[in-house]
Amino acid sequence: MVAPETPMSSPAIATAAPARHGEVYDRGYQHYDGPRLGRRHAVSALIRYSMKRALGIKKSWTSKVIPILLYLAVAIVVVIPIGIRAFLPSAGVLEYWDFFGFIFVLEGIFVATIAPEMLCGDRRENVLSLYFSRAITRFDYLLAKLGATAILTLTMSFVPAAIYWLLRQLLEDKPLSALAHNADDLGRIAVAGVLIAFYLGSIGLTISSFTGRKSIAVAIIIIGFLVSTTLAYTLAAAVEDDTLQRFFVFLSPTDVIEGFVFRLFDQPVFEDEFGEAFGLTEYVAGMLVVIAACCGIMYWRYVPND
Amino acid sequence: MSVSTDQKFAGSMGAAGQRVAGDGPVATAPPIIEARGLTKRYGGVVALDRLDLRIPRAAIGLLGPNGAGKTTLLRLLLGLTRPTEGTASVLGFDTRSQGTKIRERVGYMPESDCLPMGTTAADFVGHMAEMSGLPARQARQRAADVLYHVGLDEERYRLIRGFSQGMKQRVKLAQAIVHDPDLVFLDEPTNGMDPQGREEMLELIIRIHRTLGIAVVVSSHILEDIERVCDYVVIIDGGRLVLSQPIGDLGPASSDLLVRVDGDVTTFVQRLTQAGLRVDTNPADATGALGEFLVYFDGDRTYDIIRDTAADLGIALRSLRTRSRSLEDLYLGNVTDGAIAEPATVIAEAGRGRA
Amino acid sequence: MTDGRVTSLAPAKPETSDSAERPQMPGLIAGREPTIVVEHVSKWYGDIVAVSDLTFGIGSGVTALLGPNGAGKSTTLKLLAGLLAPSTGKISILGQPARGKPGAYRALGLVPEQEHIYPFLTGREFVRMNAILQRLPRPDEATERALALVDMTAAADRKLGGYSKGMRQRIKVAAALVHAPAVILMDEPLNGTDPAQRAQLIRLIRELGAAGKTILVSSHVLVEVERFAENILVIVNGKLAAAGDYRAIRERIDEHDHAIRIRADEPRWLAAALISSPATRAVRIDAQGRIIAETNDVRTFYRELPRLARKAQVRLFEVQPADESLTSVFAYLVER
Repeated sequence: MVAPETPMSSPAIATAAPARHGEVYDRGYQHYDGPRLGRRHAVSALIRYSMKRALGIKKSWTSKVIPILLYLAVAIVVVIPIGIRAFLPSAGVLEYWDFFGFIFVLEGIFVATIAPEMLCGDRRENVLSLYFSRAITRFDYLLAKLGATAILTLTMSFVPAAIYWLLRQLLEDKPLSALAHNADDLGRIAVAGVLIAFYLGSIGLTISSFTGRKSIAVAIIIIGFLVSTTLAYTLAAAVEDDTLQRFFVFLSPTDVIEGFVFRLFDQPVFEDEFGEAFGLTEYVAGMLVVIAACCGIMYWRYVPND
Repeated sequence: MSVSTDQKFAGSMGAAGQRVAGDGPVATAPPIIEARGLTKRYGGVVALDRLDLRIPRAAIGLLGPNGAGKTTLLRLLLGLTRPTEGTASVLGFDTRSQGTKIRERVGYMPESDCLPMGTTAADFVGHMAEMSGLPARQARQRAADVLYHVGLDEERYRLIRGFSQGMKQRVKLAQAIVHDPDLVFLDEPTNGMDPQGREEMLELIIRIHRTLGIAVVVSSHILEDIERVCDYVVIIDGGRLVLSQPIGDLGPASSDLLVRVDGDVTTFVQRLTQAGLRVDTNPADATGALGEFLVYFDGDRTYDIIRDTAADLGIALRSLRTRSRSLEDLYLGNVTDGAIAEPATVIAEAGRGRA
Repeated sequence: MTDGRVTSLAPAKPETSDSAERPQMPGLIAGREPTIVVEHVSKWYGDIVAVSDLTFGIGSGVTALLGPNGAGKSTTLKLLAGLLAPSTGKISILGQPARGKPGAYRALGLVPEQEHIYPFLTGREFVRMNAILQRLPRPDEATERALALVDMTAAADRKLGGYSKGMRQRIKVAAALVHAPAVILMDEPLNGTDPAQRAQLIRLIRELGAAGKTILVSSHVLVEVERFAENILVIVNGKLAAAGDYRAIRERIDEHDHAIRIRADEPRWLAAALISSPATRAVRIDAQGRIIAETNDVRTFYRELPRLARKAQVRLFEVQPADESLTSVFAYLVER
């Protein structure tokens, strides 16, 4: 890993022979005269580093197992319908909105594994005090962690959905025209993938920002996703007022994402436990409000008020 | 202030001067740390009270009782918290508005544990270099070099989890200097280290300062460490500045003599007393080594009586000395009552524990 | 009067019988009754040997327990405090076994290194709790006395959770002293204290030692140890490396000649007088006009010095051994 152009390596080489008998510290510690790329580089470095850590890269096998299994599971969700379509063209096709329904569960588990990895360790091991003594602000730190979480979550939502879309077009009789013809579906997939990634990611991070213990954060996130739906149903059932009842859907990420995806692909959403379904705008607005609120809470958790 | 102190001090300024010449922002501003009326209150608690500082580029010892406001001062200087009143600048940058600029050129080694256990030293220090703006490749190269220089060689590719306290301290030091700062803040750097480790850590700090020309601020409770490493001392107490001056040879504490003999100490002391000298076998300040007793100076005859009594009794005169004025004298003479210092600020900071 | 022993770290070196002046037990100053007696004590944790075949005695006064990190100091203190049972060997305190008998616990005060003290108690409650656990007849009086001893009366009603590190150290010392034990074990008591608190604790340790208590203190800061202890026990790699008066230990380390720095009003006369003594190996005068004398027979040299100076009519301003500090002695011991 010795870069010949780095300024500090050359003098050490030049003096190698006579320095044999010297004390170790004498062997040319040099001042650094290279580039200093500042805050922006620090933020991108933190994004890259956090992603690697969350996926278990350069860590023990046990930290890699869950991400690998989840990626395998997503691959199966992509491959099986494509395989069926390839060999049994008469069989029905898995629609995009149903595809998102399948991978949503995997995405939830994925966020529950990576979001605590992003924040808890730094807090628990007090690495924060070192981060905040570097050339970044607390805001930058959060931005990087949110970015890293969203990018990783995209690899579980947008990326597989886009691959699924691509493979489906390639199986058409005229792939090229199909690609062009169905480009608007890809646009929808992109919108859905990005919004869901930020939505789930910010919820996961916010929960993680309240504890230093990863295992607790993981448990709370998973239980939270499960319980929130039941809770929303129960509350909705308890309320008489129809207008009020509708809003309880926003307590249930599962139902919000389902409604949002169906509306996005212009599918009918039927009346359910929450009464009449909202339109696309309301779902998007609801998700954006949640993302904003999560960012606000995290900011409050990390940025001092003095 | 004696001549030799001035020379020592000037020497370190000179070394620093070479550094400054090639290196933009600090070239024009001699003091590395400056504060005017710096005040920090947490609710009703005053952590720092109208602090005025003008500290030259040096190896600076920061002293004060627990809870005197040292940590608050460091946090203010790093731009991590805003002063309630007053201003401060570090390396010529304003702490309020240019915090990131300061932190780009400053290193910080906190007192507490702060290392991620599941990372290798090389990975982590490299990452910290990148967090200071170094490009990835240079960051990794610097990390390897700096870890080597702090005495971690092949261990740098092992997980920090398995490191001893001394090795962890070295990693903490490495991350503080990996981006080649102009100034490093070291908070209790020898904490938990054994005598050898402490010796090596002090040597490293001296080297960082003298050879590399990096200014250091060392906060420590061990005055011996400060005496070894620093040529300037700042003492704060109760949030106020008590003292800010160069240190060096402080001269003798008094002309009273510390004496140690082998053999029949009781008879020896009796003879001295009979000859008219005042002797204290267990001086209350306990500044000498155990076994030494204090003979109050009473003109040159004091020397003769001690010599002759030892000769008459055939007793071995193991040690005879005056005590030099130490940093401890300076400290205890200036800090009002460290023994019952209320760590109100510590509590105030701990209560805000989110940071 | 003083004695020091350097134990070879090499395995199984048989005891030599050259020791007319050596005490039976390493660490013990001749003539003092041992309060703590440790005989062939080893402690294993599974396959790991924490301490191995320790034999030493500790008498009254202050003894410092020194050694690199991980050498077995904390294990030794825990064994002495009866918190751990030795795997082999015997420990007795004031004639009683260290473990299992309440008598030994009554006679013993321990200042542990851990910071695990109940955050919800006030300082006074914490010390009083120990007084009650020790079944003292007048716990309140004892509590106040112990608090005053460490200067914590003013802060005694605050919760331990809000104490600074230095205050926690002092309250632990108060709790350990509340029943006026004859034996006090302190694990790094100066850690975290600020200079004023440190100076105060050093004085307290000195006074307790002078009052005839048996005190064993572990510490890493040797310049401070020098101020309260002459007697040291050095453990390296789980084995006893040296025991006794550190200056006497220095004398036993023969490889290095002793250098003595002397300041006098007529250095040349004194130098001439010194060179006539057979105890002197070499004499020179340095740039500051100080005499640097070298000897390999320190006891004779120091005894001769005042006589020779008087005979030569030279006034002695300063006599200082150049490398007899605890720091240099410790370095010699650990280097081996």
